[in-house]
Amino acid sequence: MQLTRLQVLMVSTVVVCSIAAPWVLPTYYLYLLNLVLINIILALGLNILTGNSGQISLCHSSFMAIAAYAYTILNNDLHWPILLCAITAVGLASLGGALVGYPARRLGGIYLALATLAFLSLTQILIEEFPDITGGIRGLKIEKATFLGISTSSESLRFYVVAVACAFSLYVTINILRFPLGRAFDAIRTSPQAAQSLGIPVARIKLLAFTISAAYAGLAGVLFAMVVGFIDPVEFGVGASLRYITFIVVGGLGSIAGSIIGSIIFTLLPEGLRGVKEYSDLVYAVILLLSLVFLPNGLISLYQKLVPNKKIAKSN
Amino acid sequence: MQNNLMIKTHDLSLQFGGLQALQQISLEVPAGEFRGLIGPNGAGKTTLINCLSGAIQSSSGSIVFDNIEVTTMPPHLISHLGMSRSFQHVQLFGDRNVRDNILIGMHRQIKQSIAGQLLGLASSRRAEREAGLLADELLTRFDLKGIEHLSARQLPYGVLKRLDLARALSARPKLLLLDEPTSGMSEEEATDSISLLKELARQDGMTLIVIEHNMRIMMNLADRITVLHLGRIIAEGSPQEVTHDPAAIEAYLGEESADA
Amino acid sequence: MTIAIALQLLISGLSVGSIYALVALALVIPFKASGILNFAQGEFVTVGAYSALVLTAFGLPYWIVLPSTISIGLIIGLVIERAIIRRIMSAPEFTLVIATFAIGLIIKSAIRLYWQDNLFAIENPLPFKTFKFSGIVINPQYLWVIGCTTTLVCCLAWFFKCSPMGKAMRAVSQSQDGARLMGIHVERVLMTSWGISTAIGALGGILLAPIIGINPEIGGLILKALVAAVIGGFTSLPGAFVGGLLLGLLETYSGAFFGSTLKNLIPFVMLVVFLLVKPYGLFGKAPLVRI
Repeated sequence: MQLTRLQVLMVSTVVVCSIAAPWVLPTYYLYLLNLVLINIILALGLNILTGNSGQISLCHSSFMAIAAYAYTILNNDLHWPILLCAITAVGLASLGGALVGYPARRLGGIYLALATLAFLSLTQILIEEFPDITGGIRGLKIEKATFLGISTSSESLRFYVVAVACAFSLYVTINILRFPLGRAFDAIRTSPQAAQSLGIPVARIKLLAFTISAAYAGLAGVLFAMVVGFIDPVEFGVGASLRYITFIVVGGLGSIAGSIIGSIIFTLLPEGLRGVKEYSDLVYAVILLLSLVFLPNGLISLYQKLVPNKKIAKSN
Repeated sequence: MQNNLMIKTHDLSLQFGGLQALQQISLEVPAGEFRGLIGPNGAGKTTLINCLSGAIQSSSGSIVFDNIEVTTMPPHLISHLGMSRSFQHVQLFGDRNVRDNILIGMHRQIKQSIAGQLLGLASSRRAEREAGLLADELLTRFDLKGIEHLSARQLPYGVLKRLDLARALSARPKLLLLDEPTSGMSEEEATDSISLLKELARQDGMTLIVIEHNMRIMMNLADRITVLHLGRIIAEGSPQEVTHDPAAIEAYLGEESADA
Repeated sequence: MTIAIALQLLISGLSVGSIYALVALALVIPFKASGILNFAQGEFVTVGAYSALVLTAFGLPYWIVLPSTISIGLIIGLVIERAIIRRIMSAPEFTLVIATFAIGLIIKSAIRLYWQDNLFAIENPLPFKTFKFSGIVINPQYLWVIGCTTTLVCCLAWFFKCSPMGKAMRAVSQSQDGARLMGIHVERVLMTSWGISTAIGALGGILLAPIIGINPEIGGLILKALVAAVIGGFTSLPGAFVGGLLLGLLETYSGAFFGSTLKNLIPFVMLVVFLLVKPYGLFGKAPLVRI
């Protein structure tokens, strides 16, 4: 990947700020930053599935839930080393993704949406029906553990882990989009018939999209459990899934920048609206609707309109 | 003249709803031939192509492609065996630019591991670079260099058709099915396009089946022509034979005078 | 399980099922015409219920409140389609789905802001109270719901078969371009399909209100209506009707036989079974081209 000098400068600034962050920011802001980064990871994965591959998923919060609960239970009850808990949890979430992705090969549009809704209901029921293991509706607290000799209640550790995970997710996403896999994702969304006739195995690619995207969600789930310290089923319901979809729809479908912008705005907005609790749903929905009506292709389309394609100018 | 049949169907039929879309189509196209497929609107030409490429499952009959039975094979596997097609209503990948469209066309030729792609390993980067070079070659061949960074959605119709063709050819197929490749083109553009196509086909030993309404082009360039009407083959032969066949004249040219 | 109880359950099952059928129809009609799934449909049921509440509070008699509520639903639907939906028709499918979700959320939070989470009720609109007929306890409200729904379905059947707008709507659901070529004003047809569906939703609300009470969450039954539409087939109007009734009956009978846990699981189980086995429902049609 060739990087321009400007891009190198930007990346270096981000790295320096990230290293400094835990020493400079107060706890609350660091916590918010963690949430933003976690949501970015989630949004990147969801965008690959929905924005690029065109598959709607109303159960992304469930993939998060699977990982969060697996991580917590393996940590609290089985006392596995924390890294192993995390890796297993993400693996289980990916498995969940594959489970949903498999029937997805024959379903599209609203049928797929409903299938994912059914999966979500299933995970909710499972969480609530086994309160001995999952804590049921009351929720579950994540017990402290150590990683690389440092306690997981250390703010710096949490932040660095989240930041590294986010950077890694970004790296993987950039790779996907510039290699044949990303092109295949776009192809099956825009024209599955043409893609099929060019030898792209549409069903398998859909399955892959679901699995990879669920892995992202799983990573976000593990980090969420680590950072927040407490999980309950409400956090992973339909409302949550719809919220995550709004990140990418308002930010920009299929675009990395879109995922980032959408996550930042919609993570910080509810925090900003805390003061007016009664109006918060209404304001959230109105902002959502306005951005959909005036910028149906996401906020990123605003940027694209203002910055013309430099490459055309060059070749002319 | 090779005796090898590139594609052969036997009593291929398709029924949906109460409609008999294809009735006992028995087609034999030898390797390297330029076969024209003509017929009035609704004759079943696009449906036949859909069946051959696997997009629609036929109700009965068989399809053999390069000596392999493909009647029930899924479309992407048939594509891997070496069949490509273009679409009547151009189905390009509108979000991606011209170059990416060609690269997607080459998908089945690019072998890359998933892990390599996710992690950006050197092997994947190299494979991608090589694919890029091939794509650039194709772009030049089809006179698409210079607009390769434009999004497919922004292209004028004639260029879209050229891109569609280039994409179908990018995978070096053995058999190419084209559905009205010159619709919307001027007479000159159309003749140039199909002549270029025939030239490329001869160079690579490609077999062509082309649906066309432009009779002049068919007369001049096709080796043999099959005439479809109401789902049946009503005439078949050299362009000379077909244009003198009374059944073909009645069915097809009657429609042409209606258009004129 | 005596015959009397079985018949009682039949009536209440059909009644619940009729509401599901109504909302399912309201979902399928604009879906057939424009391919948009209106996630706000549940909220239109809520709008119907609250409209009935307000109008009744003004002292208006039921025979005025009923058509007025339906009209309110109709008008709001038309306005939303014209002002919002039409503008974003060209956006990706998900944008439309999320937009309808946002609209629904706006309606629900606005209602919640004014009326809070209080439970309201309106009275039984019929002059009859629950009565006994040869050993069966019959709640006339249930019969009213079933009757209204059946009347509506007949009206819809006539509408789609005989009226010009109905026939135009059928043409548009088959092919928007084809309909346009035939001279049909496609935008007007789409707007009408929305209006009809929101009106039906509002009807559901006013029918439901005396039975289960009024609160901002009654829109949640859209989930059951979705299951009903899947059972019937999302592209089929008779399917939506049958699916709704079937779901209502299954729920009611399983609740009586096996208790409330199973009753709550039934919609979910039906959804999974149908999506795996028969995703296009009992009456829907699968698309022809294989992907």
